[in-house]
Amino acid sequence: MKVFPALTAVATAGVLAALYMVFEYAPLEADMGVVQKIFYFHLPSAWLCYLGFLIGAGASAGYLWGKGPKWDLFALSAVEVGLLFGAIVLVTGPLWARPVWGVWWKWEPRLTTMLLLIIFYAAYWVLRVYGGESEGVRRFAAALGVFGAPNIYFVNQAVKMWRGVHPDVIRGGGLAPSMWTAVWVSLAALLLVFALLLTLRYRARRDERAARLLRRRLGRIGGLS
Amino acid sequence: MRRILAAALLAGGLWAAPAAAQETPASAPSGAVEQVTSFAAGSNEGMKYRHLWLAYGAIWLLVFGFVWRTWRRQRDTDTELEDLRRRLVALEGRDGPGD
Repeated sequence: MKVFPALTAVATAGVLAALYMVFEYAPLEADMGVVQKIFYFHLPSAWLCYLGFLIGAGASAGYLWGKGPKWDLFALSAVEVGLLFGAIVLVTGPLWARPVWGVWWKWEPRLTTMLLLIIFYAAYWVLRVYGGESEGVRRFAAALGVFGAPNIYFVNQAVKMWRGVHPDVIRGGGLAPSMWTAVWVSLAALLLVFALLLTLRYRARRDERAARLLRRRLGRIGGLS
Repeated sequence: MRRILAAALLAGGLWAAPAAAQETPASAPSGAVEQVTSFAAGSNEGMKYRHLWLAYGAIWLLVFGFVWRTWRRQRDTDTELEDLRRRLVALEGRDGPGD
């Protein structure tokens, strides 16, 4: 139980350090100016969105392999945290694009494939949360979770394969060393936030399942009025 | 009057000769401050700051919204679990060990 306060304290310290790096340490970008500072949370959020979906796919595969319902709950929790970071990407991206590109959104390869990836896992979430608790629904959702993962490769390669206008500073190498430092500190901080949220969400889902099982048991022996 | 006109022509000539001989530079010398000749609307510096704060505000709104919803679910589930366990203990106490 003492893990949560400790993790929360470390994550908070990490986020404060990241904000310092972004707003004080990292230099102003020459062309885009101050709005480029969105990048330091936008990029790590995209990576953590992928991580959430990958963990979801791995845990779904484990569930299909017969590892038990806890793997299914862990997959659901990981996808939920992945969707949160996906939402951050979808909100911060257009806010960055509008002053730089002059438009909120472009149907270019990286943006389109990312949107499709998030829609895919949103479909998994809707099915898993609103589809009931039958074994069939859980197995179908798990299969969906596994099949969604390869799309991450296409999102990652979209800039190279189909040449969009989305920046590609990772492969392009066009990032000042101090900017890289800010990126890594932000990633570490958000990774701590990710771990905290995943732990909280999994605990909530696990306890909900325990309550459901208990309700069922009480229903069988006539303890529910 | 003629003297005044002659003085004006002389002064004008003295000023006009070097002015006419002066070459207009193709561009301002490096380091020189450019003269501002108009105030046109269209700079998006304000928009950049606004969007930066909106982006970071949205990030924390989403994260804290997620934490708040999770915390509420956990609180409701804890209450329900406690209630269900109490009922189960009461039933088992009444009927003896159950299944």
